[in-house]
Amino acid sequence: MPDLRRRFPSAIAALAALAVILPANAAEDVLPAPESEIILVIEGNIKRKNVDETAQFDRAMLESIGTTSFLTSTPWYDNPVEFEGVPLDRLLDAVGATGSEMTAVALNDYQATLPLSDLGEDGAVLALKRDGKYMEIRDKGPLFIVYPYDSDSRLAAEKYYARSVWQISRLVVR
Amino acid sequence: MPLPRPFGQRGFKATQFALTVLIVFLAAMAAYVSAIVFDRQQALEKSYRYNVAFSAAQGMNEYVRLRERLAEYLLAPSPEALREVRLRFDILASRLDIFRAGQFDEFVGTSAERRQVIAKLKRTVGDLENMMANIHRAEIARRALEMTSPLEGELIGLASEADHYGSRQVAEDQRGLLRLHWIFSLLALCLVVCAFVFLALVRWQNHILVHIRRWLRRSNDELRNTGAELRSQNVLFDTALNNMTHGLCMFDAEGKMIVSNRQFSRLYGCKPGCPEPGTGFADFFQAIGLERHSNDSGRTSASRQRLEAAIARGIPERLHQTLPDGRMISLTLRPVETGGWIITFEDISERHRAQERIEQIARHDALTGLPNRILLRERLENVLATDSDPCGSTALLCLDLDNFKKINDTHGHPTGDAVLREVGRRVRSIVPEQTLVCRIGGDEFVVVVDKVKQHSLPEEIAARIVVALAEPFEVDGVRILGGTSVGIALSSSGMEPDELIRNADIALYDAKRRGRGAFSTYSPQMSETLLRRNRIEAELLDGDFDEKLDLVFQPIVDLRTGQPHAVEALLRWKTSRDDDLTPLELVSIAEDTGAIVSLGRWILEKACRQALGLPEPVAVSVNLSPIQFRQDDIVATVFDVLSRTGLEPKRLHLEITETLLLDDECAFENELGTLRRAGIGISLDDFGTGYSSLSYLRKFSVDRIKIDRIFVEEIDRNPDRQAIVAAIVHLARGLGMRTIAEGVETESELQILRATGCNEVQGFLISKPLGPREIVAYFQSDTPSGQGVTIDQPPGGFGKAGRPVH
Repeated sequence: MPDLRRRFPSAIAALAALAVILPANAAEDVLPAPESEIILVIEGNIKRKNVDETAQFDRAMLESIGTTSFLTSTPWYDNPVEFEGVPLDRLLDAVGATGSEMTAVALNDYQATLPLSDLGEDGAVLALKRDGKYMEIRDKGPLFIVYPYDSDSRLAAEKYYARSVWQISRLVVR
Repeated sequence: MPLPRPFGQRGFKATQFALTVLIVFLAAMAAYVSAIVFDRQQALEKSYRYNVAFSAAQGMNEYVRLRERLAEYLLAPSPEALREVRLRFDILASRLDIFRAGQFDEFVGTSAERRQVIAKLKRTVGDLENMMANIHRAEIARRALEMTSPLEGELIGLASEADHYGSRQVAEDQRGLLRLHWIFSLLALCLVVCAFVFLALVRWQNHILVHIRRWLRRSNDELRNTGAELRSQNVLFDTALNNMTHGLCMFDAEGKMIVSNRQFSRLYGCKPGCPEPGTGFADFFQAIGLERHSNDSGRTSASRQRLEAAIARGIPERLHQTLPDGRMISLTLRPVETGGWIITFEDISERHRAQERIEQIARHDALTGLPNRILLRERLENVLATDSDPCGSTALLCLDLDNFKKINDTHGHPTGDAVLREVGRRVRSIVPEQTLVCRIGGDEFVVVVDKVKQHSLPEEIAARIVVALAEPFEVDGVRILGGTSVGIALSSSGMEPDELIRNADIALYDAKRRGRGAFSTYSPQMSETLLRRNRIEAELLDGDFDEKLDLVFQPIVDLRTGQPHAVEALLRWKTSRDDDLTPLELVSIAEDTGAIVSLGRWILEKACRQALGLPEPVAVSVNLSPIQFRQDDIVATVFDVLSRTGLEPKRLHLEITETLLLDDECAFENELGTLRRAGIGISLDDFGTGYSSLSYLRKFSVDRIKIDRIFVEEIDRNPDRQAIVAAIVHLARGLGMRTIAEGVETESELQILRATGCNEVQGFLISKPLGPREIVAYFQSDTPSGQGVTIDQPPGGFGKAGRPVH
């Protein structure tokens, strides 16, 4: 059963984002072009694109979709840390992704495949900030898929640690 | 039937308990194994240890790729290549952070060499950091490439070690898994064993269940059989109970009713099952009408008290209960051996009525309806018991009809019965209301007059009875003469009924002796007379007449010849007696007792024998009693005696009295005729004393008429007697009969008799009665002296015996 308490603010945020984006692009499924450094490329089965067959995002575009944050302990840091970023399901909705899974590709060419169906329920977030600061490449930035590991013991497992890809550069929807 | 021990409840429970424990144990084991496996699974899921090898490999890879980009940049410097160098450096720097944190730090910390490698890497990254600002310069890039060269091998070694470390972790996990596997196998084995044990237990339980089922079936069958038996017994019991003729109620030891039958309900007219079972004695008695306190009579409450007393003492009791509708119930209470009581009820109304009827019959005479001897005795017992002076004494009148036997014989028993009924009615009608009149048998009646204060009362009543019964009876148009004698006895204190009745009987006897139609009141002298009579009777019945009696013979003289031609046999005592009993009395008593038959035969035979010793043709004259005609075949007896003695019939004269002719005129005509035809002479004795009916003189041809001595006595001085004797003689002569005058004592009497034409005489003038030898001697002597010789030789020529007087 979905955790409404957790998801409710996200839904509000998503509606707000759509209110901003949709009127402008009502006629065509086109994303606005990125204006600064591109930090994420989404390709594959998506409906809304902006560069060729891909959807490319700068930091501002990502943040405009709406962010969420949570505090959690992780295997990588000795103390609990606060992540802030875009919920993955909302991001994929924003690009009209269809399909069953998604491969996250890191700068160091590490790859992990995530089923699309679980993303919303598991609360997967494409984190931009850690403890209020944008993450550098040297600090697993610029994008880091994280889960609220403490909120559900199910998530504090190898399966989800393996899905937690840092230094993300590309998402391929299939 | 008890269940066999191994299959008993305890065995079954133990098996069930074992099964339960086993099941719980199995469940616990399964849960434990599941928990262990789950726990392990969780642990494995959450471990991140493989990351160490991966991280090391990645780190090594990133290090190598940085050096590649540096080499590429040096070969062909371009901004893209430079950016690529910087990106790879950032990635390496990022990896250094990972190496220094979390599990990788643990891996590094376990070995000094690794720490050294990581320190070297850190130093190298620090150096590269400083160089990165000027990396676009070829010499710096070259120097960076050279500087990083030595560490490459060490990082490959670290990666290898990390891989080894990871595999060790895996092996450890595998060992843990193997341990788990063993535990699990062991548990599985246990489960298998348990399953077998479980199976065995289930089988055992099944076995027990089968046994129990069989046992239950058997028990059930037995119970069913027992039930059927009980049912059939119940049916039998019910049938017996409801078909018995008695009503029945059973009570338990607490006195509560258990059961009652249909007959009981019928008897008391209550609904079946009421009083209900469980009713106590008190309510029960109330229900059947035995009140504790009765208003009307004390009878029912007394019955109930008796029953309650019997119950309290545990003894049987029987009593009769009269229901309001008049039925009588016999109620019998009996204790039951096993405790409790049984009461039976029987309707004895019929029996009771029959009893009463029988008692009525038993106490009453069927013919007259009068009380009989039994009731008389009972009444007398009561009356005599309460007899006392102030109330007066009790008089008992005993009466019988004077000639009842004759009425019966002459007119038949129905007429006799009618006469008896009339007697009862007449007596009943003339005595006071409360007087008891009984018929105590035959023609005997008794009247009891109690509380007699006036001494003349009984005799007045007796006189009235005599008068009432002297009136002729008329039955079917025939007039019958009655007549009665009454004996009266008065009670004295302490007298028994028998004594009173006996006294009255004695008085009655006395009255009869004094003549018919008389009454007599008992006096002690009567008893003495009776006693004497009884003694004589006993002597007579004793039988040996030879010893006590003898015959004497009085000669009878024929006045024509002057010779004795016959003797009359007379009875005498052999020896003189204390009592002055005359032969006449003796004969009378013999007649009353019936001894006259044997006595008459004895006399007849003795007389005939005596006659044989007398000269021919002297005859012997023997007196016959009328009783001999009635009670004996006199003809056969006479002929028998004649044939035995050899006496000629013509030498035997029989003397009869006129009562014989009166009593049984028809009956004895033949007998007399037979005797006469045989040559036996018949004399009519005592003529003139009775009825002296002339008609029977004509009817019965007798040979001689004996004129009674009362007419002969003083005939010489009494013209009346002389006239009577002359008439008799005249009459006899006219009928062709001879006359004999008895009791001739004087010469002048003889003269008169001779003058009247009397044929024969006897008496003291001729001779007194003589003994057997003397009479023989009398006839042997020519002139029997001392035997009235003077008479034998009267002036008119009374000569010696054997010679004609003339």
